[in-house]
Parts: sequence; structure tokens; C-alpha cells
Amino acid sequence: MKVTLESSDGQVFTVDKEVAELSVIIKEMLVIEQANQDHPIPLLNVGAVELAKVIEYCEHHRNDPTIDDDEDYDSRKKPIEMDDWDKQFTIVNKEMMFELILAANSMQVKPLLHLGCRYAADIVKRMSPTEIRDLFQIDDDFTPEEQDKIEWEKQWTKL
Amino acid sequence: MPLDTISTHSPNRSRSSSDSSFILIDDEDSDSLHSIASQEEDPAIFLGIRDSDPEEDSMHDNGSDSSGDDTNEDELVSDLEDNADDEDDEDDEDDADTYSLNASDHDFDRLSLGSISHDDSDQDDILSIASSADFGLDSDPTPAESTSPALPSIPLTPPPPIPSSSSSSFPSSETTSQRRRNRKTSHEDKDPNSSSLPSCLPPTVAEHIFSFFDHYTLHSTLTVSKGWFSFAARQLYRNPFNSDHDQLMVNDTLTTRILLTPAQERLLVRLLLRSIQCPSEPGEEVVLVCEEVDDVVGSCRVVDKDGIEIRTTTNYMRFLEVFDWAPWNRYMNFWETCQVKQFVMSEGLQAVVDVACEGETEDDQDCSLIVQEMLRVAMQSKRVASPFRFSYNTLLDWFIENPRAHTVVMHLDMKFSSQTA
Repeated sequence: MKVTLESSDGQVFTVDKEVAELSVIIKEMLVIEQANQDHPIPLLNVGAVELAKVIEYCEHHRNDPTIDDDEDYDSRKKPIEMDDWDKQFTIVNKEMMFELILAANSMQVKPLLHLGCRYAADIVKRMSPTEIRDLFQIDDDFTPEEQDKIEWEKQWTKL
Repeated sequence: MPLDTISTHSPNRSRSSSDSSFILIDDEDSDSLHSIASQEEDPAIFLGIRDSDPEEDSMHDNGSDSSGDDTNEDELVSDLEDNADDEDDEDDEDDADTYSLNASDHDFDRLSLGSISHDDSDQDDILSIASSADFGLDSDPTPAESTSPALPSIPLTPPPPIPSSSSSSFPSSETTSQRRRNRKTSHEDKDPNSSSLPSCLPPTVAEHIFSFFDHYTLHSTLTVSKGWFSFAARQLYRNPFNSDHDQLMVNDTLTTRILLTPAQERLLVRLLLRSIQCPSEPGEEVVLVCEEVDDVVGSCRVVDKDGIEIRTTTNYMRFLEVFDWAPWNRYMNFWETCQVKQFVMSEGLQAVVDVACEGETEDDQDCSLIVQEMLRVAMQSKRVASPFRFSYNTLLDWFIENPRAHTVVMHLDMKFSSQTA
């Protein structure tokens, strides 16, 4: 069975139902609108570019076991097995990655959200505050005194 | 051993304007000015309330570490009346009350850093010259403009790989202040529409990302910006003393379990207090605006010992949230080293309080006498302390709301202590 999805900018994608159902939101919508499956499901917060990537991910992981809600938090602390395909998939620029994270969050594609967050975290890991600010173009809104104080306070972490 | 509910709700009592003097604060949330009353002349009391039994008290008295259940305080609710109405409150001395939380004394000066040496070079002394483009993250590699519905073949130009951070920075001879000035200048050039973690993401997603950070990264992110500080602090203090750090990954390897020394714990708590805008330095005070907005008590501001504001306003309810999970028993053990008194309420004194608060026309002189009596009794025992200082009005309000409380922990104001010593 096929399901039609419509991105926020009007592009229509036709995918297998089991692929679409990796999105919790779509799965719930399919249940609710069972009699109306001929109409495209509108995804108002997801653009065509991101939706294409999400679908690409879901196609590849269509047979993966689902993540239960209860496992969701604990699983963050565990290593994520990333196969080569996933590693290749995550090689996108920063904006695209965050758009993907937002799309995954909006569509509730938990494995992708998990992967994206992990990837975003990996970008930042082991960076200095200066590097992080530069990377994300963040204003330093601490006063020099506040900065110095925080630096002093976290000295113990270097033990 | 849950905390009793504290309520400062006092529907039957009126307060004279002589109780209060005022300073102005700028409410972070509403951008409106509120008047804060500070009670300069009242013998302020540090007050913590808990259900307590003598055995527990003696345990604290002996300085033993209650290392088991640290934090069972249930709830601390402040329901403050006497609204500071609207922006007009700037000059309205009668509409606001003051409740002060104080982290005074010699406390943190006693913290021993041992052999800690601050290596400034590992963080701020590194000047990154890598623009975001250098990371290959801002240069958009033509992200799927060919978004044809034909799936799953979606052409994507592979972006350049992300280099390691180590390759993007080198030591600089600039001073810290110079770098900060330069940093601010460079920010003027940034694209205002550019996304900026974590503000571009829903809080839940940002938290999800932060949950992947190791401790080193979390501590780095503390000083990125205030927004990052909040997320990092939340992760750091999610479960700071019974942590599951042994499950965290650092560079794809499991870290060893982090065991904190007492000095580290104190610093951690101190940082925790900072993160929620509570006093963390000797002499600092939080002045709460007694403001009722949709049943949520309003804002507070941290002022230093000279009364100069040093931190931004925060919502008092946010401060209360910490009681759900903060390691207060250990923190109180720390405070035990300070000049600390505990007052165990006797029936006789309860009767005095009841009488004083029974009528609707009690005056402040009565209250003052009661509090002085409380302080006198408190001087006789040396027990657990609490960093939270309340005025005697608050104290009596609490008694009204909690007539059966049997333990009150107080910390005497230094000025008063010196007078009575």
C-alpha cells in the first residue's frame, strides 16, 4: 500500500505505507484518516528537501525494530550502532542536519531524531567554548567577569 | 524526610510600609520594572523548614553525611500576596514585600581547591580562526535542490567532511579581554537569520542533543552563552551525585565512573545555585519580588553584600524546582560548617506565635519580639543550616499556615549574631 505525503512547499511524495509508518505522526494520522488515504498527508513543518531525506532514511531502515518510548531516554546513553550507510547519510552540512533534526522531531521519526541529535552532539564534542561559538555563530552574552567566574568554578572538573 | 510546605500566604495580615525599603529591578521576562522591598532593619533569619526527628537532627549535629537518601524534600511552595502591581510598582512601596535568600558568611571561602590549577589556556586562550565555512558546515553543498518526488533516489552532493576541532584552533597571544572585544565585533557580521543551537531547536530536541555530551563538553558549553549554560547545567545536575556517568561515551569509549570529592560536590552545588540564579557567593542575597501573576510568584534578583544587583531576574518558581532533585542534605552538611543555628520549636513558643498571629490587628512590634525570642532559642543549639533567609513576616506567615511544624532551621543574620554574642 502506498501513502502520499505532501511537504510544506507542496511537493508530493509517494512511499510505501510501512516506510511512512516509521513516523509516529504519520502512523497515527493513517489510523485516524483510514478512509481517506487517497489524499496526501500534509506535513506543514517539513520542506521537500528535508522530507526527501527523511524518506530516504526511512526507506533504508524500514525493517529496523522500533524504539519504545520507555527506552528512549536510556538509549541515549548507549552507543549507537551506525552502519556505513548511516555515516554517509549524516555527512550533510550543519543547516541540513538541523533541518533534518527538526523534520524528524516534527514527524516523530525517533531513530532519525536520535541519530541526528547524536551527530549534532558529536560535532560539538571536545570543542572549546570559542570553537562552539564560532561554529554556531553564537553571541557570548556573558560578561568577562561571569566568564572568569564560571571558568574558576569548573576548575575541579580538570582534576 | 520531606520538607514541609512553606507558604507565605497571609490573608489576614497587613504589613506596614516601614517593613520595607525598595530597590528597582528589571524583570527579565516582562521587561517591566518591579519594586523590591528589602527589610534592612528587621533581624533577618535564615529559615529552612523540614519535618525532622531528633535522631535525624543529631545525625546532622554530628556532622555525619547522610549519604543515603539525600534529597527527599517534597515541595516548597510560596504563595505570596501583596502584589506589586504592574509597572507602577516602581515607586509603590506598599505593594511589595521582600523575601531574601542568602548565601552569606564565610562559606565558600572555605572550599579547598587542593591542587587544582586553573589552566586558562585550554579554553579561552585558544583562539579559533576557523569560520563556520572552514568546518564545511555553512557552505551549503547544494542540498537536494533536485527534490524530485521520485524516491528513494535523491541526489545529494556530498558536503566536505567535518574536520576535527583540534585542527581549527591555535594558541593566541591576545589577552582574554581583547579576544572578547574582538568576538563581539565579529558578531555584528553574522547572519541574523542563521540558526544557532540551541535556540533554533525546540527545547526537547536541544536537551536530547545535550544528553549526548560528555562531562568535558558539558563544562565547555557552560561558558558558551547563557542559553547553553541553562541546557548544560540541566544535564550536569540531572543526577549529579548518583550519576550514570559510567554509561556516558567519550570519544566512543566508556568513561569511568566519576566520584566526586566533598570539595567537588560543594563546587557543584555552588554551580547549581548559580544556574538557578541563587546566591552562591558569600554575602549574596536574592531579593524576591512579592508579585502575584497567575498564581505564580514572580521574579527575584541576586544582589551582592553591598546591595548591588549582580544577576538577572528569574522566576521564583524555577528556583523551587530545584528542591525536587538537589542534593540538599549534603549541601546542608556543608552549611553546617558555617555559623548555623537551629531552632526546634517548643509548644510554649508555638503558643506565643499563635497568640501573636491570632488577631488581625497584631503589630510588627509583637512579631519582632517573637522573632527575637526565636533567635534567642536558636542560639542555644547548633544544627543544620539552610541558605534561605526569610523575613520574620515570612516566618510568621509560615507558622500560620503550618501550625504543627516541629522543626525550624534558622541561620542568624551576622549583624544580629554579633549583637547577641
